[in-house]
Amino acid sequence: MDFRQQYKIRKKVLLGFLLAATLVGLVFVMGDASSSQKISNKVLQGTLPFWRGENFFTEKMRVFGGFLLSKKTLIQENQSLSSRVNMLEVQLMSKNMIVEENNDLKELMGRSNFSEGLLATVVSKPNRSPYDTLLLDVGEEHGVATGDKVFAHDEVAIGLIEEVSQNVSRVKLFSSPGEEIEVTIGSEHVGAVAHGQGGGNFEVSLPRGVDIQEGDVISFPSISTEVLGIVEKIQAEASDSFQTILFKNPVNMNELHFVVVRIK
Amino acid sequence: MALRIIAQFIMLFSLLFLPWWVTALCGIVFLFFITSFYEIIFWGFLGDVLYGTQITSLYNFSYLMTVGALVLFVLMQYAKKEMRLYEL
Repeated sequence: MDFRQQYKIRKKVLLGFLLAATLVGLVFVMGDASSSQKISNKVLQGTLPFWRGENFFTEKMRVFGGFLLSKKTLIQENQSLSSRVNMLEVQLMSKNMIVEENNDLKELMGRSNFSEGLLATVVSKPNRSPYDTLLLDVGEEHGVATGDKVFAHDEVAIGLIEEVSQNVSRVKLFSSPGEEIEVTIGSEHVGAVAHGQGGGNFEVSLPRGVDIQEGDVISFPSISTEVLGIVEKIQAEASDSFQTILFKNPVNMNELHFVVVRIK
Repeated sequence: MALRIIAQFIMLFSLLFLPWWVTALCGIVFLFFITSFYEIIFWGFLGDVLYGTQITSLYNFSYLMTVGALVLFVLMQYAKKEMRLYEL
């Protein structure tokens, strides 16, 4: 056996040994939840500065991008946004009154649903992994705990805090593939089980006789008004006894910058 | 050796800032061009540690990227041996 052959064999043995050691290590970590969580917490803490840097950089780039737009485009955009703001302000005024009245009535009946909200920055968006998870820059030191609900625009429920470290937390979206959640659909509050499809999309199967319209609001079966999504499409063949309702979160998960964590 | 080091930086960057399918694509390219790119298993594991969550439909398994990287590594090792192109 010459030197080259010996070298090749040694290399193969070393590679095999490395692979076996990695596998044993992985099996150990995968099997032990606490050590897996410890590693996860350390890594999340270590990578947080990178994501903060990314947020800072993208924010600066957005400001810089504004300089490159033409004056005419900016004026047109400004006009259309101003009229939209006026319209929304009027809608908001009436909505706020109704919400206030609703909260007063609930309090009167001893069913107050007030919980503290904490603003958090999204440091990693769901498209970074096939898991459909968000990473937030708040953690234990801000009072966040596992199971806290996360909202976009204060009213749209998007997920639950699944793991918390010192100042980073991981959110599992309700739309994660395979997730099942109980929902109520439309003004009739039809109860159903929604299946997460990833990226803020859901699917519900209901008997054909149930009257559901596109644009109906999907919410949680609770006393508070937590919107989960809006019906986008209803699929039903003439021969089917069931209809498939496709709905999605009214927010684009990949454009989320801030969310609110409702601390229990 | 230089390519190997550059590959680690690219993998880290794509894992932190780019969509997961870009990371997967980079991994496949490096598996092809770098001899025994076993580091891909580490990058898969790091991805799971950062973003991983229990997948209900997979019996609460949460190491999808590690297993994916491992499968890719083994498949590419086998494929490279069979490819005439790789011998050139």
